[in-house]
Amino acid sequence: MFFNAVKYEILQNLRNRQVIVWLLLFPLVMGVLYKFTFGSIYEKNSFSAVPAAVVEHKEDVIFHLVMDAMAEAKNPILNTTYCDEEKAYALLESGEIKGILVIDPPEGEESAPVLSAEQNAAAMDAIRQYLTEGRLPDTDTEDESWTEFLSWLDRGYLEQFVGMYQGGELIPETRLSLKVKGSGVAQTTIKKMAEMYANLQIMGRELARQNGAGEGGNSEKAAKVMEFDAPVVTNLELTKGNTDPFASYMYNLIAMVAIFGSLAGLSIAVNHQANLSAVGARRSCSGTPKLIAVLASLMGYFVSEIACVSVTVTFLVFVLKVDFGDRLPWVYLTGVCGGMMGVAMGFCFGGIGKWSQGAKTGIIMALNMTLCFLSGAMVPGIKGLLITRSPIVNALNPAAVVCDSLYYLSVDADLTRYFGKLLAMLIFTAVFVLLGFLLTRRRQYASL
Amino acid sequence: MGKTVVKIENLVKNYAELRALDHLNLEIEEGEIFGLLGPNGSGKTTTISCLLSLLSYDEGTIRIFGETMTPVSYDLKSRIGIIPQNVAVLNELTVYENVDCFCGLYIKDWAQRKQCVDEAIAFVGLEDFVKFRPRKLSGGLLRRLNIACGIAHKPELIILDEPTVAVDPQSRNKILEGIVELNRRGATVIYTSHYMEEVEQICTRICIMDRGKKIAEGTKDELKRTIKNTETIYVEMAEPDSTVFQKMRSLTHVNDVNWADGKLTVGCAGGRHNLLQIMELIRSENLDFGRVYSELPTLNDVFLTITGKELRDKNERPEEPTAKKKK
Repeated sequence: MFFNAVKYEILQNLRNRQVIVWLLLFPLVMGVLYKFTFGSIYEKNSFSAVPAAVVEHKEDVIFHLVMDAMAEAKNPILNTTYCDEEKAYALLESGEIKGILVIDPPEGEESAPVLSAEQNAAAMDAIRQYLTEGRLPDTDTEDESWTEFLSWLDRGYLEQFVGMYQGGELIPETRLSLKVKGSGVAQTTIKKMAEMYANLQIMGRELARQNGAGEGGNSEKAAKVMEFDAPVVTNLELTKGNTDPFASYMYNLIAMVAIFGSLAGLSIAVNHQANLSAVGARRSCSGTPKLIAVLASLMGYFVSEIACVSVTVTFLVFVLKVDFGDRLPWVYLTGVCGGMMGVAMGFCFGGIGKWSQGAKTGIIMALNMTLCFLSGAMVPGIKGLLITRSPIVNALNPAAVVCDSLYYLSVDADLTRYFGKLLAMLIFTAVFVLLGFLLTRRRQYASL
Repeated sequence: MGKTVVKIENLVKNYAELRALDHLNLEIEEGEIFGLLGPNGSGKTTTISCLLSLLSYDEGTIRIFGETMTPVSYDLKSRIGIIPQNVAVLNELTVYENVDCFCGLYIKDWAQRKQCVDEAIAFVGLEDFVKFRPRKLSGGLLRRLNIACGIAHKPELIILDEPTVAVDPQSRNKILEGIVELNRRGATVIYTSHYMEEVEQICTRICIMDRGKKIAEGTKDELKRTIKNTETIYVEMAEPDSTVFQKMRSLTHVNDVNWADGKLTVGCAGGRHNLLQIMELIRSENLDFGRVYSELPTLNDVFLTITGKELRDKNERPEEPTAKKKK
């Protein structure tokens, strides 16, 4: 009896056009729209490396190291081509590259050769020996840059190197100039890259100074800083999830599907109250106690809603490739709890008043839209505003609870706050179901 | 005399200032097809709703199968089948699923339920439509589905609340035949309608209601005997002069004589020679006449006699269902 009723409630839902549209098609369409509208802006994986040319007027080993490290990264930012100036300009004109990075020596001044980190360390040790012992160490290397270094010393540049050593600036500054054609994301990326490298140089020199490059300190360590070998700066992973703004749209989408479960839940109240529908009258006259009949309906609607939310999450993750981090089972669990909360909400509101199902559907729809708006589905800033100005509204908004739980799941290392929101969903569900039962418990009516 | 299935005593139901049921008393015997006849708003559906404990009432008692009916009398409810006035089916389920779904509220056993559902579908003649959704059914077929959902669990008491509203004549006959068959199989039937022809056709006992009160009760013959004119004779002719009217009124069994629209209407008390006497009078007066015909009284005449108004508005016609495309 119970499971027969559950079976038919599920069947009804899966064939209900309104349920199909709002709980299945709408989220899928919205997901696709979000993907095409915001995906290209926010999604990390869709970013393609910006093609750029590098023109070297002098060889900069560190710049090479940085470029190589970036090229080997999971999502490279720049795709660099080393060439001469003439070819670089030709490529820029043809549009094959978006910009040219020119490694330019100081104008009108012959600069010291650029050494590798090991050579830098060896050079500083050589200069230190020169300053203490008055002579340079014997070397028999065939390395070109080291040979050039020695030739520079022979040409009278020893004082310059000593000065650089004492100022902690043995690693010479590389000037980068940038040439781009047009404007856009690609050009901005190259510009930011050049700025980043300039900052990196400043940081490297500062670290070299702090590590005593010029004071007999650990010059090797200072040099390694510039090679990014030493773990001086550690990239700490703050989250296992995805914190980009695109993901937050998807959190809202899942919240929307969950909350739209109320449209289905509304039918439970209508179909079990004799004063609201003929089917309600027929059920009320049957030999099945009302509590059991309503429970069977709730169960059926929960299952249907959970199926719809699961389809949405699956579609987002496996078709639209939305990155929810490595906690996917928890995302599904959020959908399950959120969906149950949505159905329970509809059940509760459906029992209020004696309006027609159409009128109640309209009211529930307006309520859903308002809740989704307040949770930031339409205007992302509204949620932040509510959190600061009126946190209670955010805490009591079922859509925001679902969104927040997904957000916490994404950004928090531990799941304490997430479980808090999950518990809130279950409490909401219990309260709505209880109120729904109270509203639909009547077995006799003053009028039909 | 059979067992009493339904006993309603002094039932009073008020909607604010309006008294919908006014000390209604009814007793329905086992095996009857009991008709509740009355114009719209007379209290038929309210009576049924109170009977099923859907509506609260202000005074009175209701006993079904000898037990007091309450909202939690699930054992009693499981012995009752209800066919509500508005079609109560689920639009997303097929014909078979609908009947099975509602039958499932009464019968747990799957095999037994399947047999009941199959029988109910066959009974209402929907075997060819088992996979149809209600939206695809015509008004008549929809009404039949409504009935199948109410009788599948083989109830002992079947309550049909105006089941033929918006049904074409063919489907209506099918439904009425079905009700008689259900009764023949042992079910007690309560049938409400404002179509007197239907009630006359199938009901073994009739209660005529108006303004929440029972105004008459009995078999159709008993009811008709309560009125003065048991036969009405119509003669198409030009308006006769006053002497003819006087002579006609002086005839033994004639109660009243009127002429309107080229037709003489003579109301007669029960008797075997009414027509003969009237025709002899017309012939003796050398009056020309056209068609002559006689009508027996209807329940409408009974209602008219008791209340002074028509049972049904003259402009009211049975609604025809909208034809729908069938695949």
